[in-house]
Amino acid sequence: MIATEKVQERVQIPLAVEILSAERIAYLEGLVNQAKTAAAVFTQFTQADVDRIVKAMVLAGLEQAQHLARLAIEETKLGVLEDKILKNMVATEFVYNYIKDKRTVGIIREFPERNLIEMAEPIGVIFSVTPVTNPTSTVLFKCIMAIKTRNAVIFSPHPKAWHCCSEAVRIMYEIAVKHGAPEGVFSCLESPTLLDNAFLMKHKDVGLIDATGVPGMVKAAYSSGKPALGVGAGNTPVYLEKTADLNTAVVDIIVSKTFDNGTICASEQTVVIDDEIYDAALQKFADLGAHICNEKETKKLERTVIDPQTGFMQPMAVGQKAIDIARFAGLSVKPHTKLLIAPIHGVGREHPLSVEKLFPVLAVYPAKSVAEALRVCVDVNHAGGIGHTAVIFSRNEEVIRKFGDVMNAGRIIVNSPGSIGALGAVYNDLVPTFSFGCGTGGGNSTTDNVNIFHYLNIKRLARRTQTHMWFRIPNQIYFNMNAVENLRQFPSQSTIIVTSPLLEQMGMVDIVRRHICPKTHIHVQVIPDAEPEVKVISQGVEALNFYKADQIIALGGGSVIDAAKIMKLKYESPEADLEYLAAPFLDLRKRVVEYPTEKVNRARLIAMSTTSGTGSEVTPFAVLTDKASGRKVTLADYSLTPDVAIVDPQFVMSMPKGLTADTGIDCLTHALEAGVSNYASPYTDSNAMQAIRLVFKYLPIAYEHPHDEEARCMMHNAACIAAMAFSNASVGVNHALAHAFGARFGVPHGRANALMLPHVMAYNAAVPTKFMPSPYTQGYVAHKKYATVADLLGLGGHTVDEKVKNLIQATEQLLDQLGFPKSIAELGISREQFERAVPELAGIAFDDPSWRSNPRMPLMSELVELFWKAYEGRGVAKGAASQPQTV
Amino acid sequence: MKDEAWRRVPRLSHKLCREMVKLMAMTAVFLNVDEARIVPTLREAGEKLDGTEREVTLDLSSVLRIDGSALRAMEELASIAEGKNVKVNLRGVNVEVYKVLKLVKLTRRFSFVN
Repeated sequence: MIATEKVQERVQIPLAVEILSAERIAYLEGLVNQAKTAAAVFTQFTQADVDRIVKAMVLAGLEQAQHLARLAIEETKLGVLEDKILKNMVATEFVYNYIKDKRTVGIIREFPERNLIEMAEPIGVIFSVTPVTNPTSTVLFKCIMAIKTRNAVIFSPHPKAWHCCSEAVRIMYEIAVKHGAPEGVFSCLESPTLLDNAFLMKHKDVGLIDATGVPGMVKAAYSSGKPALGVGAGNTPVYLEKTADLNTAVVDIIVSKTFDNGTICASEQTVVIDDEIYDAALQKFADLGAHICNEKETKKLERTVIDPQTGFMQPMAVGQKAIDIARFAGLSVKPHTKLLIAPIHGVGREHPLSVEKLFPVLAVYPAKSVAEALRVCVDVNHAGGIGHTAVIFSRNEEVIRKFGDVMNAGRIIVNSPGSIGALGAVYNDLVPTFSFGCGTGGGNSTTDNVNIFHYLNIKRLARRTQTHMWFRIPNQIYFNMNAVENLRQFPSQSTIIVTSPLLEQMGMVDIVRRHICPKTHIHVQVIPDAEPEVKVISQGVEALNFYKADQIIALGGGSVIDAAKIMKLKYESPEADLEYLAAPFLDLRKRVVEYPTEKVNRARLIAMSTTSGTGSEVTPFAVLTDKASGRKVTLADYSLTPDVAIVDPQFVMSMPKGLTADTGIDCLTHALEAGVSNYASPYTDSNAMQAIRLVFKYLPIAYEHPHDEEARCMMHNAACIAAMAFSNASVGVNHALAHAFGARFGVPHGRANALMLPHVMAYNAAVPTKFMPSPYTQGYVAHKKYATVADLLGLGGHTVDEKVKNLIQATEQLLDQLGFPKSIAELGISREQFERAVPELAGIAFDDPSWRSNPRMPLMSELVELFWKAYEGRGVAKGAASQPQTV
Repeated sequence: MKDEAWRRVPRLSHKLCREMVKLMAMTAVFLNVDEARIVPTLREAGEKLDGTEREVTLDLSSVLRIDGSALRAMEELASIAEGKNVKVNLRGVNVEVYKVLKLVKLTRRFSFVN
């Protein structure tokens, strides 16, 4: 940091308005107004307009490169004329080469595959502070960037470089206006002061502060509360590793460190050299014109170029030639010495030359190992150079990557000169710049090479994307009477039949056994007909292992099939952690947990349901109970879906009436909820609608005439078809309520569904209090879909409201016909008992993932209301929920 | 009911309507602004505001872009109009020009009509 900058840091921005004279404030306000008007007018310009102006400015900059460089040298007394000319040319020609084809007006980039368009919005007025070290090149660079992006700039050059900078601004301004740029687009503060800067940094019409090079100003810019690009000091470590091409490395370092007498803040400061090549490297430096200081000379140099009080470089040394610095320090060097090299033995205040030195003095450090070298480089990086630049010369890719990993630097330059490398577009493909972002480590907002895109607000025009949807079901489904015969086509050495004691007693297992391929070894694993427990699963997996099963046949209701799914999972992937796999999720396809794909064993799972409701034979869900912990674990993943489903109604012919009704209404609820689900698709709709039609037609017959084969067959198909719908579209609020209520009061799932169903339909058909965000649907359609169902069932009605009402009424009639209680109260649950339970039930229902796809987002109070409606009982005339007021 | 309510609404006589139209014509100035002559036209509009008109309407339909001098002229016109309590309507302003006026905070000083 240069001594004068410490003064700048002490200036308090809020004081500026109080201290500045009225005339000065009027002057500054005038500049801002002029810039604001220019920026406003500029918004009307097209890409062609700005490109035309930019090209003219670049040509003018190239033409004036030498003139401006001379002015800079004369005024600042820093640097090398020839290098300053080059810098001016890089700032124009190289920058132009990078930006000429870039779009900065209107649409700047399009991503059709993402339905995204990026559009440019100018910033408006930019207040720019420019440095003494790279004065005219920085101004040229910023002028070109500003025009390319349709912004106006007020410049505040470093006072010691004001004349050359104001001349650069004048040249750029005149050529820009001549080619159509708005008047007032650039201005340069007359006799800029820190108070002026403070005032402008706080000005409401200044959109961005771009402060380059002066740490105090950078800090002030960030403290102003305005968006700022502040880029500042560095302390570039260089690792010269033993595999490097020494000739190239030494030349590159000399080129870089002597370029413009080391005024570029990305230039090399301390070179850490592997011991093996240390002497050879120093010899090479000496051969090419560097003076290697001995210990005494190093001490003299330290005292001359580093301020002992602050530990920072002396301003008088900045940008001076090596021979002049040697003369100040009292060193005797050869006349054409380019560089002074001073060996150091550490980094920090005790080693003064380890800091940033913007002049041709380079510290060198011998390292005994890669580890030591990297450590020292980290030390240098952290001694004032965080986020800036680091350099490595090496042919060892591993070391290069390690270096990149441990350096906190926006630019890590490999096998090329640090300063010119960091400027970009000369030695590498970095974006050309005269402002180096140093990231948060340097107190900056970016690590980028500041470029045109930092002078733009980039707007993103995001169109609604058509979300990918899915429809996943088992590979094969066999249905209708005697579909079990299809078992013959599945060869197996060893098959386990998982079933319940009752089904075995009823002889159903024997039916299955008869149809399994001959010569197959068959073992029957009988499990309790209840939600599967961990112990039951473990026993099943033991049997699978013992018999080396290659096929599992699940014969039973939902619980048996669920058990078989989990047995298969644990058999194939013994390491599967069921608790972990049961982690909550919002979208089945975006689950955080991953189900195992590596399998120790493989077994085909064939599911045959003996009830017509759950549809577990085609679903990707399984529920497990851990009695020890009292917890219920719900597993959901498409890998759980059985490989084959056999939907044979002969296994349901003897279902009792109550079970027929309960499972039948469960099936209807699946279909109705999938039908209005936010995840519904034409694929699931076709299944849901067909299932509803079949239930309304055949469930009453199957209930009244259990031996009616057609009715049983159709209900069995309906359950499977509804399950295909909800496996892919999910269910809704009805299931959430039924799960909570059923578990609390021991009511069978189908019955609990039945108690809620009419109320939930009315609720979903009404105008939602809160819409559920859903990229899958367009508008609110639940009521219309209910109306479509009503049409399908031929229920009549002219309006959507009438049709919804008729559907609810038809559902209630069906429930009555099946002998379901009309209310929770009818179950014998007292009002007081229910009142006590409801708050907790609402909480449990809200946590249930089932409703996440519900078309209407339930509020907790609405869940409570729905519970109470179910308690009071159904009847279309009862309550507002049964009187849908559709969207 | 509707008919009764309608009958109770006080209505202007044809004579009164004719008088009002005449008055409106007297108190309004209409000017077409040509893009090539924005500044002189705006100055002319300013000069016409002698206090007898209550409203001046400038048609900017043919103005595709405005520059800094036009903005200054508009600001001057706005100041004159405000001083004389005259409403300035801008008709047919395209959105690009409207955005420029918005950025320099001039929109609040004019009324915009289609």
